[in-house]
Amino acid sequence: MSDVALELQNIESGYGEVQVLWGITLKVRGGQLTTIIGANGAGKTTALRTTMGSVRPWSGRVLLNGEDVTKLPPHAKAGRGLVLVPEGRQLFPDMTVAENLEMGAYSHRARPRQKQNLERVYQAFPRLQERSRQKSSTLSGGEQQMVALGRGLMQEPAVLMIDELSLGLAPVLAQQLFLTLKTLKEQGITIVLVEQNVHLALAVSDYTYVLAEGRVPIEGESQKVAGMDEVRRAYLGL
Amino acid sequence: MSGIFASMIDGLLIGSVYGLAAMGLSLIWGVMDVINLTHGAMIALGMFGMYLLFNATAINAYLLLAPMIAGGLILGVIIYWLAVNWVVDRPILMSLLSTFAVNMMVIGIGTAIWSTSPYNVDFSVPGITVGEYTFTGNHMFAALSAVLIALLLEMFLRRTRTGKAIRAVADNRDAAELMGISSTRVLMVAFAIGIALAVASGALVSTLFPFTILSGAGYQLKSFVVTVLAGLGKPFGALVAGVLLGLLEGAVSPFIAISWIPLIEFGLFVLVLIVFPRGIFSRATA
Repeated sequence: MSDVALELQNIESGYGEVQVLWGITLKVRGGQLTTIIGANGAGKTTALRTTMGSVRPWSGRVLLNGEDVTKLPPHAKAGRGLVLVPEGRQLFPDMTVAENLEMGAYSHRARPRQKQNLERVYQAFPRLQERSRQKSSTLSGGEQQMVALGRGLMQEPAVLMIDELSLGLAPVLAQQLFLTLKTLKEQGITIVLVEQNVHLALAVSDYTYVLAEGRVPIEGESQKVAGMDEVRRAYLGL
Repeated sequence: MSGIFASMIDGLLIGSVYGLAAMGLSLIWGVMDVINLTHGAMIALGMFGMYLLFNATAINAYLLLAPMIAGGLILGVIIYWLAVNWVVDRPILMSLLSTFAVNMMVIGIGTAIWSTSPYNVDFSVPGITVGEYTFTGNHMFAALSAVLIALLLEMFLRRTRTGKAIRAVADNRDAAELMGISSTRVLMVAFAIGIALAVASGALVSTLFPFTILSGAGYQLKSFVVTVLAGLGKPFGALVAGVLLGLLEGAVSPFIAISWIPLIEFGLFVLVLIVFPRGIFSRATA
């Protein structure tokens, strides 16, 4: 078994008075693609945002490569290679595609490899090179998702967390992005994927956590999870 | 007819200083959604800072802009930590109150030191005479300095790493944090630059007209008009809008008493808010 790159221990968190996560524990192994599936409102996005620190954990610990980073603000975690491609892309609308990608390489960690990483992003998404001088707000939804993913890659991720890769995209485009994800995994990048398309998520991932009402009732290797009756009924509509 | 022409050129030159002041207000609003009510007081401090520095050194007043800007940056950092950092994410009334409090303190202390009687910076550059009109050297130097500072700011925002981080934070602060940008530090830098611009514009005005500790208020109001003309949060647009406001002043001032000018300016202000609620330079994008 490979080393644990990211670990959540008994995380509880929420917004204001409303508790969303009721003690979740998960381990992301280095070089693997781990997916978190679950119904709307189960707490998937909150889990990622709490890991990142955009939402403060109420209790529990977040470990990145064994180091306790629970209390660090998001920018400090990003500087250590914990990268979140957020839901809804969250680009810089008034900046060009090239500038958006450049902001990915802002941290001291990512700057030395800015050039190589930019080449890699343009290789994966040639469309972005064609549009590099366009403002990101003028792109289509699929292209914006490419920028968001590319910007995440520019950050030299130790762990790449992606919130809803395929949301709002045409099926063909979603397929294409999933292929890109597979390639990235083969290049050795550790990935955490939150995804509403459960079929695709189970198919590409190594390990799956099922999140329901802020808890993790089911976890296991993706192939096994895909075969479980309760998962097939609740999430795959079979 | 050449009278109005000369008056308009004067207006254009002064307008670039209005624009520089408004850039400071606009930058702070655009990056952190704070309406900086210390703006007028900072302009006044720029005037008195220039007065003190010029009397102490007696060198070319426009060369003193560099130390004035440096002082403005330091002042901006201090005010940010004292009065702004705590209220950035709170309802806008909080930051209005806290910056207004700083404004009142500065004006109060300034009044105690200098009273409210007029001062002036006794420095002049020879002008250029065209026909029967003389364009004063100070007006030209002030305008040139304002445009130069504005261009430097624009280059800083477009080209440098910190400048791009400021634009990223203005665009989407949460996403900027995800990129590893410490948004608090960026807000501090942006606020300091905004204050430095106010101080610099006050320093420039002090070479043109006599001033009191209360003079900043009028320029603060002009800055609001200019900022709204340009569309909030568009610093370079503010420079252009400032020049337009100056031109307007120059065009009407030969025909009416000076005291009517604010009425015209604020009439324009209301008109722009109704007709172009997002500023005259904003394209109709979502």
